[in-house]
Amino acid sequence: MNEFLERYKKLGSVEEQFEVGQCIRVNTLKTSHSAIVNRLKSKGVKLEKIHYARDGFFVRQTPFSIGTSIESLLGYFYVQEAASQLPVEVLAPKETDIVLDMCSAPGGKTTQVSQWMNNQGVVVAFEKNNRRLLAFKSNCERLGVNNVVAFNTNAEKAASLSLKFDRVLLDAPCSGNFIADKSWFQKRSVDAVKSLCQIQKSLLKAGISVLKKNGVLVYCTCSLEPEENELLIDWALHNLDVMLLPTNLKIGSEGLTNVFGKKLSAEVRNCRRFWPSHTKTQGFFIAKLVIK
Amino acid sequence: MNLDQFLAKFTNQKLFDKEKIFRHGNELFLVASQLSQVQEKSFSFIGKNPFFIGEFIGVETPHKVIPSLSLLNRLNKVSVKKAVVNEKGEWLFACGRDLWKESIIKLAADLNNDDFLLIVNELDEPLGIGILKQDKHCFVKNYFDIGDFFRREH
Repeated sequence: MNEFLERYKKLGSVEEQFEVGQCIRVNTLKTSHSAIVNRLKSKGVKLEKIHYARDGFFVRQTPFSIGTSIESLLGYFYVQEAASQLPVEVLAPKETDIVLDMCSAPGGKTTQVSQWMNNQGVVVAFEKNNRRLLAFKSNCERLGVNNVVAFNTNAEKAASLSLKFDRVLLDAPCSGNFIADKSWFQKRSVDAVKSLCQIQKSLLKAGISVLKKNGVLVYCTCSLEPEENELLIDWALHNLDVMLLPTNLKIGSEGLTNVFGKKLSAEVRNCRRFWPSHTKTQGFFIAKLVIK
Repeated sequence: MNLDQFLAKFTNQKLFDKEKIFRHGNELFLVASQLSQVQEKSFSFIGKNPFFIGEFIGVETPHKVIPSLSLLNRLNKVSVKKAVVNEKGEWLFACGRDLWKESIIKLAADLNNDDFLLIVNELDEPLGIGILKQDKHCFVKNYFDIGDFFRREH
């Protein structure tokens, strides 16, 4: 058996590869749920509400590529996997907030943050990777976002800003998962996964350092590896002045508190882990942190 | 063509406060005051300007202005210089094609060859900009269309 599948089994889940259905997030800055459902229905597209995502719909049937439709080009929706719609729901930004999005491209979650804020307040976005800026700009333009200020730099620089944030979203660079990438098992090794953790730690530390006293930081990855998830959060609980809050999500399972024999803080249960075989989504992990 | 010359092809009305325009290379953004404050503060720490801020207006080069979707929407609210196209024309235009007369349901009055006009669908949603070219090859030449969102990334 593949070493990763063996690890998952030890952690309590038997996983296998399958294809997740396409999902969209309706952009309520430009349209309404009913308007887009009816409009696409008249073109033969069948949408079904995702009960656990505020603006999410499964695409159950479509006679054409929905991502290149006129409705998509006009910015009425964004093609976004179901689990990846949830970190912003946990963050729940408000119109008056100043929000930091630390690793923002291609802008799916950034535009979702703006949507939750009704294009009010301020979203400061960072993206280090030059090659991803075009997609970010394109998505912000298409979805009609106008409360974002985005910098092409490492998010660790956030710590040097003289700003404090009400909400921080850290969608950390991660190893990904086998559902989102069919050749994932061939590309990844456990050692490579572990090497990403230092970057994730630095980013988390930087994010916490610019969080307001009553602020909320949401950390997420699309990885199933505990080194990038529960173990990292356990490290934060012991080394940063933070505590975990429940995500109140209606999907996913509790964070692991026993990882390959290592006992973690009981608080880690408050995290949300998305085993694909249980949630029928890609692999995902979400933690909600606040300053003590 | 600069932005002013481009806008003048559609309307004499003031669409936005030009003092609030921020230029990054040849890209233009309309910036609300709360964003300007963050931008200024951040610049002193990060040492660089943002690559995206506020409302994207479009790209201005010496030869061409490429409007953003937001600018198309703004123009659509005030300009009467437009052509309404049918569903087939909508799709072909968004694929970068010129328009034939058969695709046009309604055309503004008093237009001349080489006039710029907004291309909208039957729901009055902007699809792009065309130039009137009444000749045997086409009727409206595609200047810019929203299919560019898809093409620019592929």
